[in-house]
Amino acid sequence: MDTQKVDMYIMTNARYFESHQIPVIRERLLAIDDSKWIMIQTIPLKDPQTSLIVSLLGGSLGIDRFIIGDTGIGVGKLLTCGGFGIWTIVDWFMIQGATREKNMQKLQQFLY
Amino acid sequence: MIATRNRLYAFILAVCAAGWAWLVLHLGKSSELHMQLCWIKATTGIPCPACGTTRAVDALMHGHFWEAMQINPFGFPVLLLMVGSPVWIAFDLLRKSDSFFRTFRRTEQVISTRGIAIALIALVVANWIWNYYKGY
Repeated sequence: MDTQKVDMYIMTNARYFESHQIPVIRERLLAIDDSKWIMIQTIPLKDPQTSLIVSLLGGSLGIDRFIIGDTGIGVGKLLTCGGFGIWTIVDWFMIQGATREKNMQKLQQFLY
Repeated sequence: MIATRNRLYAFILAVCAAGWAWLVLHLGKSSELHMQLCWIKATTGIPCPACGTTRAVDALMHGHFWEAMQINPFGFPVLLLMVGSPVWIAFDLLRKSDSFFRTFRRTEQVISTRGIAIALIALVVANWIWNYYKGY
């Protein structure tokens, strides 16, 4: 794909990914075919800040994990009252990273 | 983020170990300690859907099924998972298989489908309302 499109994508979506992943994403986007552009643009990425707010409010019920698609972990949190409250606190710090990882997984399907 | 079999197994075994440690600390003791770790209960005074699970599991382990059901039905899946998943994982590790991992992923997909998700959420909300009236 041409550089302009890729740079535009990176600029608008950088906050959805870990900063160390950005160079790899850019490199892969430049290498792939133009026909994937529409697909890549329409991937529903989750906002890490939204997950953090959800985690602060509904972390005890596992809603933060359900939202990013970690259903299994979400059920675990829900059944144990947020992992006895401890897991809730751990996830306040982990959830943004987990959201970015999840976004990367979604994008990766189209990059390779 | 648990993308590989071994990480999922390590994670689940750690969670189960923590759960068993919690139970051992609690078995046979009075219920004073129970609610202090619940954020919802501590901040709002309203019990969460899972409040009472420790007591329910305790009752189950003493064979009081009906009592456990009345305390909190969450006790049944929790005890089942705490007993079942380590055994299944051990079995998998011995046979070098990944059947638990695949089942976990498939279950995640199944319960994420709209109809089943709505039904499960309704059950949890119903349990929450029930818990509120029980006053835990």
